[in-house]
Amino acid sequence: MPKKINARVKLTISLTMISVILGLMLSMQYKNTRAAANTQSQVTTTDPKAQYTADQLSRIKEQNKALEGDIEKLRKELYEFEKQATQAGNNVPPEVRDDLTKYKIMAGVLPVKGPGISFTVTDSIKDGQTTNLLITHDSDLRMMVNEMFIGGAEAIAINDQRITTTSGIICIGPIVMINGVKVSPPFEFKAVGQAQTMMATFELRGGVFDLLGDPGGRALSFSKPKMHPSLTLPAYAGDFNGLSE
Amino acid sequence: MIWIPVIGLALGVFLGLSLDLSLSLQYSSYLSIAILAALDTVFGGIRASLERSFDSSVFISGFFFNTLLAALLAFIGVQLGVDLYLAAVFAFGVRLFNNIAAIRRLMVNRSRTQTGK
Repeated sequence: MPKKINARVKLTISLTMISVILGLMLSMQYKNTRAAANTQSQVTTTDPKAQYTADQLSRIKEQNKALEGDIEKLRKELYEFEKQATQAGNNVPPEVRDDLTKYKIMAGVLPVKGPGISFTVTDSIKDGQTTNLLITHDSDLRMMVNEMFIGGAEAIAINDQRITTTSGIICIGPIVMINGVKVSPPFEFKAVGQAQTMMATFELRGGVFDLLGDPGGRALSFSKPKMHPSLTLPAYAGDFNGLSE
Repeated sequence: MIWIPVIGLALGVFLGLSLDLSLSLQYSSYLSIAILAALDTVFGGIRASLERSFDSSVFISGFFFNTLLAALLAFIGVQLGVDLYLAAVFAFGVRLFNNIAAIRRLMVNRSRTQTGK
């Protein structure tokens, strides 16, 4: 009998010990899987090399973001220096300085602040149609951007991506890429310029917004456009296809 | 008596979640295969104890040996470009089911003999 009890004690002790280790392993793995699911760019794969590459990709993306912040800061500094240089009374006439500012705004490298309007557009919630008609496409965004510029916009940003002279609005699968950055609906348009005329483009019968929002057609959901006395658009922080400034 | 290992398991999970232990994501696949081996060993141990052929040194050495071997096998597989990982998943998966089936059969038999008395 004592031998049997001894065996049971031994069994319990070893089983408990192993259970603790197993529990530890399970929870660690659980945390790992959760961490992998949380970060979108990180793919869980059984191949460590693919995993390593995915990790590196997300790291580089973060670095890029930080570097873009640096570019923005340096551009601002440069702008301040230029302002000082012209104010110091060099022989740069004020028209040249104004022109420079104007072209920089047009190029999108300066943050803009001024009166403007904002609205959001997102996929249609209507059903009973093919999905292709209901989602907001890159071509829709391009049409809207064109319409806004025609309607008196001086600068436009979609989801804080400033539309510049070299901005591409392209479709990559289910989402849209602007300035090489992925943006997804709802798309928030901000436009600085003549607020009144821009508002009027929404009322234009047969205009882009009328067509895209038509309840009998595409029926994209537009929010009611709002006028703002002062709106700030961020500057574009990427590079210009290798052009130096 | 049977609850003590279960409490141990809960303690292990609690420790793992509360302590800031984390493994680099790229080794996650080795850990998963090691977990499978460990589960297999634990169920094997339970089965052996029901069959009254439990040997604690065999059990503990089996746990560590199987776990490490599974991870090593997966590692070698990655180096050679062969999915040895799958072989381990398959082997341990089959054994796991066999062990659970044996445990179930033993339990059923035991309850049958008890009611028979």
